[in-house]
Amino acid sequence: MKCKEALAKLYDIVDKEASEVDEKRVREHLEHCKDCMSRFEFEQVFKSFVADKGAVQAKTDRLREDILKKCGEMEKASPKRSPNKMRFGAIAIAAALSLIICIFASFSLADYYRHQTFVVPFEKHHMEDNGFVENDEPLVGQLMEVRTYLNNELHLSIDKEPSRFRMIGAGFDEIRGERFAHVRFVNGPDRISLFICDKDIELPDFEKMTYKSSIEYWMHVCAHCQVLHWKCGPNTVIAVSDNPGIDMTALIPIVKIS
Amino acid sequence: MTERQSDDLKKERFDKEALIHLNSLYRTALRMTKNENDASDLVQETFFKAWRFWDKFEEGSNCRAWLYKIMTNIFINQYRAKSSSPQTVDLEDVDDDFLFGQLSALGPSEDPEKLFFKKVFDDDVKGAIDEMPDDFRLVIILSFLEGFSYQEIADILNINIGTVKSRLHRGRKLLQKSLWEYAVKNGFVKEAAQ
Repeated sequence: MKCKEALAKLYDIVDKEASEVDEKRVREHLEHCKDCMSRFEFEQVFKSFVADKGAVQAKTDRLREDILKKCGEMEKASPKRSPNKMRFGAIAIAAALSLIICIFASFSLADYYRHQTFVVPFEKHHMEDNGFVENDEPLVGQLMEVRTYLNNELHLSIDKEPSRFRMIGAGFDEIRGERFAHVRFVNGPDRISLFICDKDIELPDFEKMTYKSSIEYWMHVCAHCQVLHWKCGPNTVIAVSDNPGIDMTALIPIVKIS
Repeated sequence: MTERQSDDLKKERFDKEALIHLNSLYRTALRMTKNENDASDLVQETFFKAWRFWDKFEEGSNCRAWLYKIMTNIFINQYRAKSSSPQTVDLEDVDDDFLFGQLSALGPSEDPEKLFFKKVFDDDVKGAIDEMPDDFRLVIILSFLEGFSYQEIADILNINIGTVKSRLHRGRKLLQKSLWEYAVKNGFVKEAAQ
């Protein structure tokens, strides 16, 4: 092994990432090459030097208490959605209850059905990454493609980002047999998806609300998600987030007919 | 089991498996955000998010890496925008063995490496890390300070291993260069004859 080859593996060895074979070969070289050995030792000392001097001490007891307390409060604030953790007895009671509810009030089943057929497919596409790049450069090409599609074919524009929202990517998704332009925003730690389709899709009549006394929208909020939908000209716009707590109505005025 | 009991059980498991990493996450948050208020906000948000998605976490998988992934995502999306760190650096003229070369050039009379490592203080190292652009700072923190493997860092930052290695490589060069500059500025070493 030559010096150049050994030095190429230098950091892999220092970081304990080299294969056994490589490590053995490099070590053999180091035994005989004083120059490489001192360089290797230097990098090793440098790493532990930085780890040592860069370390910070922190007291987190209070923080831990705070977090546990707030998590408990969050749990009380949101309804449950994990029946798989319940005991059989509880499931039996729940089943009996839902049977009674089915008989006496068929609308709850309808709610469930609406959630499954309408919300879940969008939630699914919202949660999937679909090649959106968040950490590095946004996919400018795809963003442009989606903007052009919205402008030229749907005559819609997304003119600006509302405050606290940042556009991070776009693409196309096929959901329930329809093609949707999918524009993704982040708002703090939360990701929000905007799905736009040029068709008048039949949508469930969730709770009807009005934005600035002019735009009607329908809203669904449950323990783990939030969905708004509204019409913009002949187009259907659906906003989805996995955080039921944030205000997504800020997205309504940014989709405009151009 | 009552709802109350299942809540307590969830809390207990969360405390034992997730909150046990609080110290390490807070330490990293401090290095990321560079101030205590933001660090404690960042860590709290991380754990709230983890709590909400706790049923999606696979028991037995790497909880610490999972929490780091949540935290770096929040950091990148929320705090990076207001971060004052430069995003690019020019390292073209810096050799791989920059610091080693500089120290060797100081001559054989005393042990310049030992002197350097003895004279450069904690604050210098922390300062040098703080001044790095986020991309490099994150991999250096995760690798050097928190001991994550290349693969874990790749998963946490959602980048491939090649990118982890190249950022780590450039991060090392950057750190060595700025520590050398600290040492020269503070007179611990005299700049070697170029």
